[in-house]
Amino acid sequence: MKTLFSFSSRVLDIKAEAVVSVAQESIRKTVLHRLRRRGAVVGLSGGIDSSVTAAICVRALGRDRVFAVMMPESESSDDSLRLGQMLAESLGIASIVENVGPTLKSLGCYERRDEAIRKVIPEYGKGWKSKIVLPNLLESSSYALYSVVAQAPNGEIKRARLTSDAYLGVVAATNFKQRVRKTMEYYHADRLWYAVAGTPNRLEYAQGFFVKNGDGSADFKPIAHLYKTQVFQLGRYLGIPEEILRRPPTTDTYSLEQSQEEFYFSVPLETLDLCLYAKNHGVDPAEVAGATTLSVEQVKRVYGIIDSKLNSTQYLHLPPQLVEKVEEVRLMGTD
Amino acid sequence: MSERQFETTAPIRATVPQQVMFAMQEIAHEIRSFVVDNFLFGEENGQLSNDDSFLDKGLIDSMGILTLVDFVKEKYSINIEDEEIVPDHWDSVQRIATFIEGKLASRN
Repeated sequence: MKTLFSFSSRVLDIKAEAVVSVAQESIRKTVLHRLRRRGAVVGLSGGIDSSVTAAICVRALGRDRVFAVMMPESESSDDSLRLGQMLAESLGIASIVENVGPTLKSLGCYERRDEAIRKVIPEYGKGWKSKIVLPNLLESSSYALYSVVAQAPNGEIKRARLTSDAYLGVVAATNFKQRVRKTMEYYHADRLWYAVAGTPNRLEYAQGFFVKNGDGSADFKPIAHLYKTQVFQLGRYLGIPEEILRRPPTTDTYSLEQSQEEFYFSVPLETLDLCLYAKNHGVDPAEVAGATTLSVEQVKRVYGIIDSKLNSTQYLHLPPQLVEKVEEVRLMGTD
Repeated sequence: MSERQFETTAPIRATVPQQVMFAMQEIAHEIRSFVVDNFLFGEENGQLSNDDSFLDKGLIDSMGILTLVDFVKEKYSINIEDEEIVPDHWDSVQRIATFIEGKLASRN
């Protein structure tokens, strides 16, 4: 593969003003004309993605047509709520705090999750905290096998490889969190006649880092075409508070502090971002290695991880499959 | 397995490799059946050879490996360490059969 430019991390540099302008226009057309809704609902997590999404929506639709929902639960970080509220205030948009903890409890989210963890750590119970992690796949050619890391009330840490049914049980139970939050966002969207904004960046969207019918569900996704690094550039341009810009990305899904790299990507996000761009543009692994701290072998491994995720997460992107096309249903904008 | 299955005209010393070969074939057959049932949903149609790489064929992802590991662990009553779950041991029917055979042999 030959490329016509010298590859460096600068390839992800964008003209923020122009990118925001295009996104604004798209949101206006999509929300007001195609979806025919009066405004947008954004679930704020206190992270960079939802903050930038909300800020662009405000530019596109006006602050009176954007409604923010903060949805803490008993295991989410206090920072998520505080920073979400800070952002809503700085944007001057209406917002509400919906504590989804009691709903999750009544669905058995926590109890079902704990039961699944007990399949590999029998003593896991009340007062324990946990997270799911992946090995660092840059260092070896091992499979991306999930382990649970659990902290006992006395601080002792235990780690165990998850069996398939334990892994599926943990994921199925924790997915309640994203799905209940999305249900709440649609409640507010329905009562206001608004559309729901999804907040994934390109890395999350392409690599299937979302829950189907949970955070993967939305009426429009205004930053899904942007690499994470570019979302940060937009964040600075849009004046997102510094504390949000500096906050390390987190899933905020597990009771032990967990980075997104640990849970899903297993390589640092900036690195994966650059590799995804390089792979999308047919850049030779040797060129990527020259522009990063990775070896050629490691870049090849990352390319392999990207491919593997693209394949294994296709299911998440598929709409309900029909036996035959239903001709009379013609979707606007798809003809 | 019945005694009859081990009948052979070969000298006594040669029966050990034959048994090993039989065990390997048996294991490979069991692994293959599991893979076909669980990852090809019973529709094999001659598209999987015992040396085919699961990764190259896009047949089994990490979740699939977890399922396979659980099956092998239970079926053959062997412990499998994290560092043993690598493509060298798990990326084809034949590699898995060889790995299991080695584990069983080291136990005896």
